[in-house]
Amino acid sequence: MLLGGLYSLALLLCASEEMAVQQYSAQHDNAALYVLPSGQGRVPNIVILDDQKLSLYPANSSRSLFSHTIADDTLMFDLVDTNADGRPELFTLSPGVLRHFVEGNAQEELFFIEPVLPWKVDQPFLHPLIISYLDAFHAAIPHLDHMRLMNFSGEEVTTFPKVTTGMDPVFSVPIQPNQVGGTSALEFRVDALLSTPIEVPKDLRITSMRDSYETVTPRKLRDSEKLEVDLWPQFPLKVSPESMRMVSYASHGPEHVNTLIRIKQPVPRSVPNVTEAFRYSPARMYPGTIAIAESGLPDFNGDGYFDLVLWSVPLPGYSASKLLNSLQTQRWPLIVSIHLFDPVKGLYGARPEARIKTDIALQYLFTRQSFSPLHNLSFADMNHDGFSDVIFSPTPNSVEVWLYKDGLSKEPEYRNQFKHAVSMIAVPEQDKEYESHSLLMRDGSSIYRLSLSDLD
Amino acid sequence: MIWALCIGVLVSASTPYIEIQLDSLYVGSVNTFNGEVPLNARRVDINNDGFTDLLFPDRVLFQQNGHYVQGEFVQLPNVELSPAVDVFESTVYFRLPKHLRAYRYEEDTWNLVLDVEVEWPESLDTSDSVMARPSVFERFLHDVNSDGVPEVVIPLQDGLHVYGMDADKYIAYPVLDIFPKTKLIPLEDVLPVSNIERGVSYPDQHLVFHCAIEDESVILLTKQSLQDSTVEYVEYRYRLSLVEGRYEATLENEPAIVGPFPAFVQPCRLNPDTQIDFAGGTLDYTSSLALLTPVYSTHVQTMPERGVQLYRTKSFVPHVQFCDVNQDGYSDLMLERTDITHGGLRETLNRFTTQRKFKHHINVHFQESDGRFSKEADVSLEKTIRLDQTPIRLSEMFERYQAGKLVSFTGDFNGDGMNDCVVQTTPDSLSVIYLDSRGDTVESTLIVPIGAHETFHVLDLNGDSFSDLVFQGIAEHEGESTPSTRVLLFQKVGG
Repeated sequence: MLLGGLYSLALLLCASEEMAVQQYSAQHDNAALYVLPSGQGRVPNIVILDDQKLSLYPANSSRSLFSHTIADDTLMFDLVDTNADGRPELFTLSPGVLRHFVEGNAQEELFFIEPVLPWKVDQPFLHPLIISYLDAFHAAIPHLDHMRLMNFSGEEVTTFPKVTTGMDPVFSVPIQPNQVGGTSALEFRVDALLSTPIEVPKDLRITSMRDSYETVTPRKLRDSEKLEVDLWPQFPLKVSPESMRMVSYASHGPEHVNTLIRIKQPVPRSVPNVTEAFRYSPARMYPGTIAIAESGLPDFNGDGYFDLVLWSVPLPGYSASKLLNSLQTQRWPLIVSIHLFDPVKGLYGARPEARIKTDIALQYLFTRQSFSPLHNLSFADMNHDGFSDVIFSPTPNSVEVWLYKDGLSKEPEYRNQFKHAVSMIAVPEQDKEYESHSLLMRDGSSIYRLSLSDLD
Repeated sequence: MIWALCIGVLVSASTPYIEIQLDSLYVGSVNTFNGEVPLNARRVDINNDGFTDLLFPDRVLFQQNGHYVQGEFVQLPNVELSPAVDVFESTVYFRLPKHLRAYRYEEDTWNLVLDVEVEWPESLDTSDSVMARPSVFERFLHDVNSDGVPEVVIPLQDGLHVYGMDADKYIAYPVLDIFPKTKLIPLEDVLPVSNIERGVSYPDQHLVFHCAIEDESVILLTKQSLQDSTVEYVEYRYRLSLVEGRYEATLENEPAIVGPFPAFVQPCRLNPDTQIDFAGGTLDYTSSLALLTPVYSTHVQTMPERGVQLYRTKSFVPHVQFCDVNQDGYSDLMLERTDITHGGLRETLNRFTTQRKFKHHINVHFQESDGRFSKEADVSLEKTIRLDQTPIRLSEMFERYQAGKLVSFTGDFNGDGMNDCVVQTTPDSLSVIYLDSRGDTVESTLIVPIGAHETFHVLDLNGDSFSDLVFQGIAEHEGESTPSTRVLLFQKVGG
C-alpha cells in the first residue's frame, strides 16, 4: 500500500550488493553508504562504495558527480575539496601508495609509502586522510606507532608519535572451562579494539563528534528502576546544548508497562542550606515504554523542550476474534502516545497530546522485552515546519511517516511497503528554511530518497 | 523465603543430597559445546587430602565430610597486595608487581615455596601505584615443557610473553610474535568531516583470535568474514621449543583454512581426536501461519571431509547444543523440541492465551567414533512443563524457558556413567529424571523445590563424580548486593 500524497519517492541508485544505511556511515558486505555533510547551506553528498566502484551523488540528485574504480588493496579513502571548486575529490590509501583521483577517471600516484603499511581491512572505509596544515593540504598517514604528515610531494613535514601510557587495557579473556583445548590447556580469546592515541597539536585534533543518543533496550530499562536515580538513563530536557536539566527515566515494575520520569535540575547557589548541586523532581508515572531514537529527540511544538514518546502494547481484554485476526495477519496493535513538556508546570503532561494507533509485525511483539518494537524510529522534521514528526517501520519492509501538526492524523501521511526489509536514515536538506529532512531508504540493493514533493 | 533459613547443612534420610548455603559462589552461563559452567572459584585439592576444595581469589574453602561450611574460609596470603592469582596442581601462585610468589597449604598453614623478582612486561598492569583492587584470578601458568614447573605465559598486544624458571629465577624469554595482524577499522564517532572540521586521527585496530596452548603446542584460530556473510577460520599450529635458552615458535604446517561457516559457528572440541571441530546454532522463527514457531538450527563439523551437518528442530534456544551424555568422551547432539506451537492456528492461539502446560521433548543423538551423530535419537524424554503464567504474558519463567534455562542434561546425579535430566516442570519444583546405562528412564524421579526467582545450574562442585545442583537467587532485600546461593550436593545414597 502506498499513501503517496505530498511525497515523492525516487529511486536514487542500485548497488550490486545489499547495503546497510546509517546516519553517517554504513558498511555491509561489499557495499557501503555514507552521507557527507558538505558545509552550511549546501546539500549533503551521498557516497556509495559498491565493491570497488566509488560514486558520489548530491543528496538531491540521482546523477553522480563522479564514479571511480579504486584499487582492490585500498585501505582507506577520503573525499575532500582541495581545489576549491565545490566538488570533493577522491584520495585513496593503499599499503604502499597514496592516490589522488582527478577529472574523469584519471588518477595520480601522489607518493609511495615506506615502509609499506602492514594492515589489512575487511572493506576500505572513509577516513580523514587529508588535512589542512599551515595553509596547505597534507596527507596524514598512520604507521605502526606514529603518524606522518606528508606534503603532496611525499616529503615528511612532521611526525605525531604514539602516546605511551605505560599500560594497556586488559588484552585477553581467559576461557575456562576450555572450549578448544584439553583440560590441561591454557586457553584465551582476544577480541580487542585497539585505540592508538597520538600526540596531535590541539588545532589539528578532530572536534566534531557524532551527536547521537544512546537507545536503551527494554531489558536494561526494566533493570534501571532498581538503580539509584543517578544511574537511570537520561536525556537533556532542552534542545539547547548548554542546558543542564536532564530527564531521567526508568521502567516501572513489576509489569514494566509504565515509565517513571524524574527531572534533574541544578539547584541555584542562592538557595540557603543546600549543598547538593542537583535535585530530582518526584517520580511521575506515564503509561507506556519510552521510545528513544538514536538519531535525535523530538520537539513537536518547537518550544525548545524535548517531548516524550511512549509505546504500549494492549494485551489484556483483547478479544479472541481480534487475537485470531492478529495471528492470521501476523500483526499486533501498538499505541504510540506523545506527551508534550509543559514549561510552566515543569513536567510532561499527564494526558497524551496525540496518539498513533497502528499495527506492528507480530515478531516485534515477542521480542519487545529485548528490542523496541519501533524499528527505524526517527523524529526528523519531514514537512519543513520546524517541528518533529514521527517515522518508523511497523513491519520489517514498511515505512510510515506521521506528520505532527498540532496533533496527529488517524492515518499516516505516508506509508509504503517494500520488497525487502528496509533500513533508513533521515538526511538533512540544508537549503530549506528549516532544517528539514528527506529519508534515504535501503530496500535490498536499492536506495530510495523520500522527500516532500513540490506540491507542498 | 525458606531457602534463606537453610544455613548449614540439611540432610534428609530420603534425599540423595545434602543442602548447604554458599553465597560466595557464583555460576556463569553454561558453555553450549560441552555443558561446562564457569565459576568464580577453582575446584582444586589445595590441602592434598584427596578432596576438592574451592579456591577463591582471596580465600579457600576446604571440603569437609563431602561438603563446605561457608563460615569457615581460610584467607590466602598476600591478598592485601592485590595479586593476580593462579594455581598449578596444589600450589597457589601470586603475580605481584615485580614478584612471583607461590604458596602451599601444609599442616594448616601457608608455606612460601617460591618468591622471585620478575620484570613483567611494561604494559602489564602491575605498577605499585595502581589503586588497590581485589585480588583476581588470571590464567598465566602453563607447563610448556612438561617439566613439572609451570611457565608464566602472558598474551599482550605485541605477542606471547613467556617466563621460565632458570637457576631459581623466572626469566623473560623473547616475545613470540605469533599473533595475527590487526585489521584497521573506522573510528566510530568521527566520520565524516567537512573541509573545515578536519583533523588528524588514527584509525582503530581490531585484533581477534582464539588461542589454546596445550603443552608445547599453540593453536591459533582467526576468523575472517566472507562476502556472503559467512566466515572462515584460519588455523595455525605452532610448536614451542627451547632452543639455546630461548623459546622459538615453529609453524608445524601450512595454515589451514576451514569453512565457510555461518557467522555464529565457533571452534570447539567435540571428540578426542586432534582436530578442531566447529559448531554453532541459531534461532529463527518460521513465517508459517502458526504463531511463533521457533526453529533452532544446529550446524556442526566434526570431520572436515564430511562438511557441515545441519539439524533443525522446533525449539527455542536449547540449554546446550552438545554434551557428553553417555560419558564416552564424545560429545552428543542435543535436540530439544517444544510443543508450545504444536497443532494448528487455533490450538496454538488457545495454548498461548489460556494454557500454562505444554510438553517438551529432549532427544540425544550419540556421537559415534567416526564423528557422525546417530540418525535416530538414542535417548528420548518427554516432560510436561507448567509455567507460572500463560505464554502470552511473557513471564520471567517463560523467558527462561525460551533461553533454555528450564532443562539440563549435563549432570550425572547418581554417578552411574550416564547423565540424568533435570527439568523445571513447575514454577516451584525441578524433576530429576534418572537414566540407566542404556539411556532408559528409571521409574523414580526426584522432585526438588526451587524458589520463585532462582535459576539452577548443574556441575560437580565437590569432585565426587556426582553432579550437584546450584541454585542462584537474587538479592531479596534492598541494599543486598550478594545474591543467595544454595547448593544440593548429591552423593551416594546412604553415603
